[in-house]
Amino acid sequence: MITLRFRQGTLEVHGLEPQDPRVPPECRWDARSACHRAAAIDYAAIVLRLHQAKEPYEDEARDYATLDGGLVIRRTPRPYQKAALAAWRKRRGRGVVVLPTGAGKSHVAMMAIDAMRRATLVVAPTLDLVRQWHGNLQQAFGCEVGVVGGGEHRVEDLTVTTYDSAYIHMEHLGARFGLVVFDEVHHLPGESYALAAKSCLAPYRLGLTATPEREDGREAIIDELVGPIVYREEIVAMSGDYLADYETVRVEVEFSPEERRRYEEARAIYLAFLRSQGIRMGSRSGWTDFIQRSARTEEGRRAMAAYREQKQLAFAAPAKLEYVGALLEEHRDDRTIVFTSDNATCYAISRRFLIPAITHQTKITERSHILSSLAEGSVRAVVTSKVLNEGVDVPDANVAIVVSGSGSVREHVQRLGRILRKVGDKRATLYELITAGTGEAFTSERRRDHSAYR
Amino acid sequence: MLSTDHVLAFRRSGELKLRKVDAKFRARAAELAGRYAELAERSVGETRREVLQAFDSVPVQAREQRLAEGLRKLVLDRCDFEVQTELDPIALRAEVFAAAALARRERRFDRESLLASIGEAHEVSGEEVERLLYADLKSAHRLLDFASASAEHLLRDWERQQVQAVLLRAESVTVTVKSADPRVYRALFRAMKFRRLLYTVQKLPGAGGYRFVVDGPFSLLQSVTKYGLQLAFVLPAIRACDQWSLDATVRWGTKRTRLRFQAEGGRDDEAEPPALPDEVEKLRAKMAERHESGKSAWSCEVADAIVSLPGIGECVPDLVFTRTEPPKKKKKVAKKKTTKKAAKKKTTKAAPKQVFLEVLGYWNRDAVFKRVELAEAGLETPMIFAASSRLRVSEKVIKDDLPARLYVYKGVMSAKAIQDRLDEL
Repeated sequence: MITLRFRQGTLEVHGLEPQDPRVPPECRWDARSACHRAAAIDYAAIVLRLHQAKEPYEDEARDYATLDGGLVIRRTPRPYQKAALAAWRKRRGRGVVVLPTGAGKSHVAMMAIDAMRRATLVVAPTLDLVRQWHGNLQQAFGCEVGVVGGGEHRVEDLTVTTYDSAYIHMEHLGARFGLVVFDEVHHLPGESYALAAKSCLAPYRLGLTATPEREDGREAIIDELVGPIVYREEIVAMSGDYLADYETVRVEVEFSPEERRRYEEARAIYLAFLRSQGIRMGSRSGWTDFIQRSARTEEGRRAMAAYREQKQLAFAAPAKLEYVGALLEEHRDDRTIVFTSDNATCYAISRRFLIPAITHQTKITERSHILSSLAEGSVRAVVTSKVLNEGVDVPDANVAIVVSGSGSVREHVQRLGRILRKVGDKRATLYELITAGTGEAFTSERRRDHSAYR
Repeated sequence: MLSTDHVLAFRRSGELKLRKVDAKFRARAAELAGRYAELAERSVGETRREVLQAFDSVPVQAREQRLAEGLRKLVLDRCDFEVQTELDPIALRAEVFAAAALARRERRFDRESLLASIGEAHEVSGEEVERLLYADLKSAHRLLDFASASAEHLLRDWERQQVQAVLLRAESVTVTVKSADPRVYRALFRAMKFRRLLYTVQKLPGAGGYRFVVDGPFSLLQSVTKYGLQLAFVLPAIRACDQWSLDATVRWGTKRTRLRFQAEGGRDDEAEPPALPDEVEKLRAKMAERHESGKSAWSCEVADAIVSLPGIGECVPDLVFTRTEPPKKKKKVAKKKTTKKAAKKKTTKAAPKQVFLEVLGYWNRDAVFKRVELAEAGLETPMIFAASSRLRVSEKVIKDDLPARLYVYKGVMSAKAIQDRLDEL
């Protein structure tokens, strides 16, 4: 009798000789264990083949439960949420739903869990999102929800984890879930995270994102790991009806003459090194080449120090910080999120304006307290480096101030998304502060290359 | 443990080679290690930021940067940092930020006076409130203690951890080991099993030793470095062998280029000799005593074999029993008048017979059933598996006609019970 077993992210097929014609093509003979082996992700395909061939088999691999109950709180879905679920079910419960931030992607996931009624693992990129999913699932399904990550390891039929923890623990947990939801699924194509997706036997897979495209072009892998894009809506199409109306304001600030002199000096050292080494920062390997070559010589180390200095000067120009102060005063009655690209600037703003900072060093309990204080209104602004870029639900936030950031379109769209959740007749504003006459102007142009900014 | 960023290596013809540690390099590395250790020692009471600034003050050339960072990491690993403040920074922040938000909304926000008034409530100055606001950040932690180490000790650690750090990027490793002490093999097997690695094992002809090809289940389907950390953790058990070599495939650099990496060595002076578990040691002593006093025909030694059946697994017996004629019995036989033919027949009957004992203890019930499969698949040398009654298994799971027995014991293993099963076999 053929027996299927789950072992450390793989599927063992016992009971077939190496050359047996019944061996599913996904399998390879493993002499170490005297059995055939396939990646756990191939479980559904292998079971389907055995069914079709009317081959009797014993399934010791599947270890996931069918959920007794579904949603205890049923919200009427918006038409596009209903359409997204229908499109996903039509593709046998495998695929990606692309909706702008604030449009209610997580509600689509709740509906999918309710429809499939299988033990479900939700994978999210940050601990803040894990905490948020945990609360939402507990409320929607009225049952205990497990958490794996951030020092917790409690597995329930509904469990939430981070991508990092999924990579570490999927070889133990991979058989426990019939549906896996990848929130912010654009993270998945990284080599390690992709392995986590392959190590899970869940036949049903749902990916959620606002921005599936990646700069490295690896988004095609999502097709293989989760399924194709089954439904898509863009911000501009939903603005006003389902998302808050918004405007984006670009503000250029000037250096003082002394800052300008320091900036130009540092930049000259950095650019001279790039020229001497023939490094093109615009090329795909430019940054890596710079890091590697700058580490080899004294000149290179000076160039790296100069690069950091000119960047820091542009990112945290005193005039920018002055402007942040003015905006915080102007929006004292609003809910504001200030974004920086580095922790040093983040803490500098926190200290100077006495607003809470959230970085990767902020413990989860303090993060939760800060976010709930923002929601209640006992604090009106928070400053963050990158950890609030994605997914975290701050429904009342209506002002975003981007003090500094990368050239990533996704990062910029995600930051805008933080303030777009529709609450009443809220109108959102995103300020982007640029130091004039620096590399930031070019960076800004790159990251605004999205329909949301046209 | 050092990371791959701390490895000093170069590539040559598809191979990754560690930088050779010559006398000049060793002298400079020892100088740097000594300097960092001295600075750490002197910095007790200072913040992490200050300790790192002190490290930065040591002049290091560009080409020495990687070595310096590795040595700094080893020194920092010996440092004990902690938050030291009387006011809880998290509570203080919550208080300051809520007060600031309220003041801003009421259009009376003045940073300095706000900090001063909060400081007054806690009997500290406004400047102190500002200092304590983020006193729990890692960079503000204070150095409480540094576990002193000589420059030579740090340098030995650095060299040892270079190989380990390379293995973090390993896809698969072929390990060849030789050891006069069978307990070292047992410790190595246990380390690999504990790390959930898969391996094929081959006993080397001639002078002995074993060759393992070690990786993980997924390695069959895709080249992955997922098991690199586990492979690195097994290295100390490999280094406990008298002679060892390893041949690994690693994915190196930002482009993750596939390279070959080889290393070899002798027994690590600092490797602790693996000891037999207490209960096994006690049993061995009791069995030896019985044999010497003539109560048992079975001599008892620490086993040096590995029993392997592909597809079912391996087990590493703890003890080996060899049947010899006890002195008394031999005397009686000598008194008898026997023909040459009968004497020959008797000698054949009395030929030593070996039986292995593996103590499974009480930690893994599945392991017992694996052993049943092993016995059913056929064993060249009979075996006794000893399992604690806490595993809730019956001795009858192994049938009488098989060359194995399961001994289920409660509390302590009995030498008499083992002897009964030896005689049965």
